[in-house]
Amino acid sequence: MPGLILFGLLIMLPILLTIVYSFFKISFLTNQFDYVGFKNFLKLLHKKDFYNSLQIVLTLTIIAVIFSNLIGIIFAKLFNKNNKIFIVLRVLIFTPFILSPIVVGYTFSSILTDKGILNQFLNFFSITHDISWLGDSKYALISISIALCWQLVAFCTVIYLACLKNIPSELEDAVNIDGANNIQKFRYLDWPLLAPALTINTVVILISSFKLYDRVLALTGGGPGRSTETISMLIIRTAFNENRVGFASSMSLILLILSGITTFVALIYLGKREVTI
Amino acid sequence: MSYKRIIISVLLSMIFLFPLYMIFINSFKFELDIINNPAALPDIYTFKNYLNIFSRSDQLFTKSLLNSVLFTSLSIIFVLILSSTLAFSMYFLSNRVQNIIFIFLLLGLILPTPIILIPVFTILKFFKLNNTVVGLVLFFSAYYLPFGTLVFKGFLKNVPKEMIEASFIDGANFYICYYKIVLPVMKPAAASIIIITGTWVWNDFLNPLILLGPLQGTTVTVGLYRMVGQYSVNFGELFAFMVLISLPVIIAYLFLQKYFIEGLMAGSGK
Amino acid sequence: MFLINKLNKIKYLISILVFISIFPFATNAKDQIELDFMVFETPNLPAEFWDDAIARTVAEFPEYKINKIVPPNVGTMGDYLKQLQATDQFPDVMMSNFAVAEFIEAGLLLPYEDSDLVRFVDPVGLGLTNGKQYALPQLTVVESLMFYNKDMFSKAGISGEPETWEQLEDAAAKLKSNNLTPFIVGGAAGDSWAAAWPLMDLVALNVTGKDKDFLKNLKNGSGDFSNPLMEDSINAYSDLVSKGWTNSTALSLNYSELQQTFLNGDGAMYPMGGFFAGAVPLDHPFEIGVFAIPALDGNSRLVTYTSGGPAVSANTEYPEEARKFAVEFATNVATNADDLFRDAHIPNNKNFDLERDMKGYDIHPLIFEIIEILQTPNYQHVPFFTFEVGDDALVSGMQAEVFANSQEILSGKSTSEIIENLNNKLAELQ
Repeated sequence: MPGLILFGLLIMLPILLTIVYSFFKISFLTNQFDYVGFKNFLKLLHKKDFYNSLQIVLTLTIIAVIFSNLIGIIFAKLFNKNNKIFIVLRVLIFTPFILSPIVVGYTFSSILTDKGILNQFLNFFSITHDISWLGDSKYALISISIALCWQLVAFCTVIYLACLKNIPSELEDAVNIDGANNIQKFRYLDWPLLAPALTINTVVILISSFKLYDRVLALTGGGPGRSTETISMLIIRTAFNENRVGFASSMSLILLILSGITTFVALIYLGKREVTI
Repeated sequence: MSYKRIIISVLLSMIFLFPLYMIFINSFKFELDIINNPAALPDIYTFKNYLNIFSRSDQLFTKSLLNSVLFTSLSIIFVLILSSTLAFSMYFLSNRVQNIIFIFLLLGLILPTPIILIPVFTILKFFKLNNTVVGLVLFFSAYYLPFGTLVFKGFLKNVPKEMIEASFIDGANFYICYYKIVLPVMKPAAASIIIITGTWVWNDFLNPLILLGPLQGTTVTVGLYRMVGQYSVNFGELFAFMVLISLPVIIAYLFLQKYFIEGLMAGSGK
Repeated sequence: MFLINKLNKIKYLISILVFISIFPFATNAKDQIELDFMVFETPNLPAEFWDDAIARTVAEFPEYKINKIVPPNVGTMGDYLKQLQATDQFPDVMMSNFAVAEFIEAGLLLPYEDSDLVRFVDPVGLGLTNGKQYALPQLTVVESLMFYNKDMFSKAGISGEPETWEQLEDAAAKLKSNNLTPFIVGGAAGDSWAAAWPLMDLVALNVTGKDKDFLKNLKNGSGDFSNPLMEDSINAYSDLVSKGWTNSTALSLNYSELQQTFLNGDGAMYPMGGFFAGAVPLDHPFEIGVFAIPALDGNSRLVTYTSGGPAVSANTEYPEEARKFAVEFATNVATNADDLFRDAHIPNNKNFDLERDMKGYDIHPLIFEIIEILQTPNYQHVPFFTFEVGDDALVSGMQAEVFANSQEILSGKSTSEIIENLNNKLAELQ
């Protein structure tokens, strides 16, 4: 199985090396390679930037999980009709997901700049006045979540649609005869049957949020200051720009554990839920 | 009722897809028109932005396009071969071994790449493959192997076990069996993997930025990043560049969209 | 046995791949000296400038084959070089407008010989490290300049150019009371260096240019950023923001948008390096003037940067030839002239003659004003903060932190928070 060897060499071995590196002080500039024990992790405990990035990633993850799923379900329910228009819409709705995140980043940066279309629109209707969507640290994170959710909503919608298609029409008829209202119908018919889709979507959202890099780079570059710097950006900055490879590896290890645990817990919890309802 | 639903759906979709419309329409506008009326249709259509991109003195677009085509196609071929054989070989392993492999693959599937980028570079350097297209292709093949394998496994479930066993009794070996029985079933799976991993590899930014570097030329995404970084951004050219590098994936998606979604479902539904 | 068989197959696959990917690039005659040369591109110095400049040198010395490399963003050129170094792609020659000190410290740069420096008016420039020059002092940039909109000044009734910090503040107050935005500052995302510009000037003028021991103390660990001079400098910057004297758009403008904001007449003053003069069109609708940013204590200081020429990698395959190329490139008179015209980079070349060599160019009068400021005798010239070299260099790795914290100043963080951030980073790096 050559695939497995390649996988071991370029994926599993690097994970092992990351663990090893995190106990060393390494610099590519000076070819330094010294064992320092747990010093990197102790330093990490006092690193404000790291907590800051952690908080940013968790906030973005929570926003993305909630909104992408919610809007995804709404879109899916709306478009789940066999009419030519809806078939076209179903195809189009997915296109954001296949664009490169960096393209999405630059697209939204042109929409969200001070004189961009969003502010022109908001000013025209006097809703708000000249909000600096990317330059104000209060709004920068919102802007990033918009760009992130835009792509994830596309994904969620399509997965929910695929799942809705599998709901047998007899079931729907039966519920209609029972005289259930729309909310009841959703609660007792769709929601349980959408459970597998919810699992897939949530896991995909978790994975994309944890490795968030390109979109933020294009939108704010992590700024203003460090107010939108994700963990991935912090790791790359520490490793390549500050040449502290060992320290960066200790952050990587924490991120790996964090994303591993979160994803597996989500998988197991949501997976169980699929069975019980 | 039905009309209301159509109107609401179309309206919502228009808002949702507005950014796409904006990139496309602004790529045909003059700079001033973009800044003053970003949402309107152009007063005068122009292909100047596209012509400028093709006539750049550093050939940023053409060079990065060639590079991206080269390593995207190589990566797809590798992922296809490696993951189909792996999925098929797993068929013959005991359940326990299968599960162990499965867990490792799952770990690879959820792995954020920035975590392993540094050691991956060290390993590629050990094999003297750093900063080469080969190195990047090998990394992509390894990184997307779990996805490919899971999709293939999903499709392989549909092949009755008896069929495979029967062919072995007939004296076929692993490769003949793979060729005769597995490959035909895998066609839709292969289509899914081609379109999905192709899109991912094409769109990737960080890995080529770091693993490939500037000397081998850029990829389309790194080219975009460079274009924005260096210049006073000419928005018209920026939009045109984005349209050009997104067009291949969008066209591929429109033709193969059925496989795209099937693949995603098969890959994620275990 | 089974495993070896498999390994062979992998080797086979790899060699096919190697073959496929090498053949498009497999044209490489070895009789030429091939050098990877990193330049940077800005709106003033676009690709044509570098292509022409390289072509001029190569035309005289056809043995060179130069591969031009461009970093994705000029402000992060140092970061990008570190990334290239970490991934084994450090260029042979690189233009040095980044903080070179940490690269010298890490032994990555090749020192120049004295014979390489004879063509330069001021061979020392930013400074020497252990008696050696590591980056050619190709050009001089005056960094602490304030460009101003003459129309707005007269509209607000400001008669002369401010000569002290108090006069500058008075002028700003007058402008503000006339509903004009006194200062245009900013720099978003990758252009955080632009946001840091006023701070780097203020610190150079009032801290590092005044207290010679400040940087030394940072280095040997006997001092940190909690220093009254430092606090004053940061306060001076953050006051501009808190008094409402700066544009609200500061943190959403990239560098070229920032420059355009001032050129559009959206604000009265623009603190920037002399190179801004290269971006002002001759027929610009309003007249622009320039004066040196005054120091807080009333002394006459001017922040200058004489360096910026090529540096050579310590690991280049052709050390001799790379040095020769660097010197020829930096002292090519036609390139110097083009550089002065486009980017107001004042040549530091003995063979360069302003009148003779600029004949064909329509130079903007602002550039002459800047040369005049540079030649004003009573100014004490101080090095640009974060770009120092030698013993006076800032601790490695601090530059990026200064850049990021300047954005924090613009978004309203307090001086004590900024100093705490800088101190934390300093402690982390030591």
